[in-house]
Amino acid sequence: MNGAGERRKVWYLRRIDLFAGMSKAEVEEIARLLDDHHLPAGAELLRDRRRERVYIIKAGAVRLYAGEGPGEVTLALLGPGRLFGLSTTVGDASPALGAATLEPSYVCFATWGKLLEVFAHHPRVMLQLVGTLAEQVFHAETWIERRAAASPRARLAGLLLELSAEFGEPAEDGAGRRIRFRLTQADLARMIGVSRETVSRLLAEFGRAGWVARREGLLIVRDMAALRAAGEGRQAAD
Amino acid sequence: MQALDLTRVAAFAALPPRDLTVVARAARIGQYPHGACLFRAGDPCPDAIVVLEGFVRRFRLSPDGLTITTGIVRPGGLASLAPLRGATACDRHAEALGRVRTIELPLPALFALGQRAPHLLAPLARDLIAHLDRAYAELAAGAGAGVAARLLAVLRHLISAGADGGADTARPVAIRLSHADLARLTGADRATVTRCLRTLAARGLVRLERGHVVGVAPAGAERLGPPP
Repeated sequence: MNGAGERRKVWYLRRIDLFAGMSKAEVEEIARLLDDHHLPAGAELLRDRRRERVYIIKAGAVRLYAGEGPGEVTLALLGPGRLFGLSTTVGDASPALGAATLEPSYVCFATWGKLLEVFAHHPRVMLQLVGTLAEQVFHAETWIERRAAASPRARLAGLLLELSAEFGEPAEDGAGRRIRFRLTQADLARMIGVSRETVSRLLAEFGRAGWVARREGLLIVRDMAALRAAGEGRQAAD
Repeated sequence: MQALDLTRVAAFAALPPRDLTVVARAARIGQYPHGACLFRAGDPCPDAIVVLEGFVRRFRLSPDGLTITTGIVRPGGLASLAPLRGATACDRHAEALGRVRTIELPLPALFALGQRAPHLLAPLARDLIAHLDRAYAELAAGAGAGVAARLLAVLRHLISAGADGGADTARPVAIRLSHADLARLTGADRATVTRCLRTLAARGLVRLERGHVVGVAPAGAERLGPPP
């Protein structure tokens, strides 16, 4: 790889939590051992059956899903520093997962064995890996909890808050946070296990209340407190 | 505590005796009878709690009082995720399923161990990946689905957990939980769970014995899905 490409790899790696606190030389060493991919929005990653690969997201966002067609279920939305393609490392009976980028993304990948080899020489990264995985388990548990217990209204409110926190940026007019990538009503429906019609009705209700808006196809979350209250099944305090 | 106990956890099995003694000095063994609480959401949680024996159920209570199982931790797994996530309070309730023994290791001791021998943390990472995989499988099965689907997801979960450690995949796995326990795990009432279990038994997928359920052989666990 040319020098500019190498520098870019290092720049991205140093910005993800997994490699936080490492020296430039250490990150350069790791960058040399990992392959990487620049991907457009909508690129599919795990369906090529090269399941021995473990991916780390350097920039962008990836949607993890199971099933297909009307039976498709979104399992997680992952941002920079998160890992996926891990199933092969455990050998459990796990669902065949697909992964698709939600926006232009930059990922690196290696086999689990190679990754462990890298991590074994860098204690801090190994500890960060355990912490990152604990965080991903916690998020998956939160999704299970949301789908098991909450009403569709609370589920959507909770999801919108999570999306704005993880994938939001300040809205252009300064009011609220804009979710960086386009999400259709059907996309949202697949994340919380309700019908598209229900999402449509609830988004209209949230829009009328001024809690969310849509500009040029992108969702803007305006009123976090009201959504937090709705997510917990209560009325927002004035 | 005995250093010998530690070697039963994959993460510690490869430690040289000197390091084992150091860890054993810092750690303490927890013993919990069936149904006992390990910790509650909101409790301070400074220790990494690794399950030695039995299963630990992680759960939340919804505002309307419904118990929602968010994960089941098996031997070798971490029952407490909060300290590793950098959180100071427990994020879930946790209770013992069956008799449970744990190793409770202060986080600085775990970190010191990881600094000295990072490869020793690989089994913990591997277990977290397995936990993540099971959570995804449960989401894929539809946690908001009917009791039958939720019960299938829980049984698959328990059978694959019981099948770990190179066990014979043709051997049935005894799930030493009563119908009432399974009802709590699925958030359904006991009578409905019993009815669903009878249907599964009629299909030859589980065997019902006095007081508990015997799961199909792990190799047949896949026959439990997808839900009807």
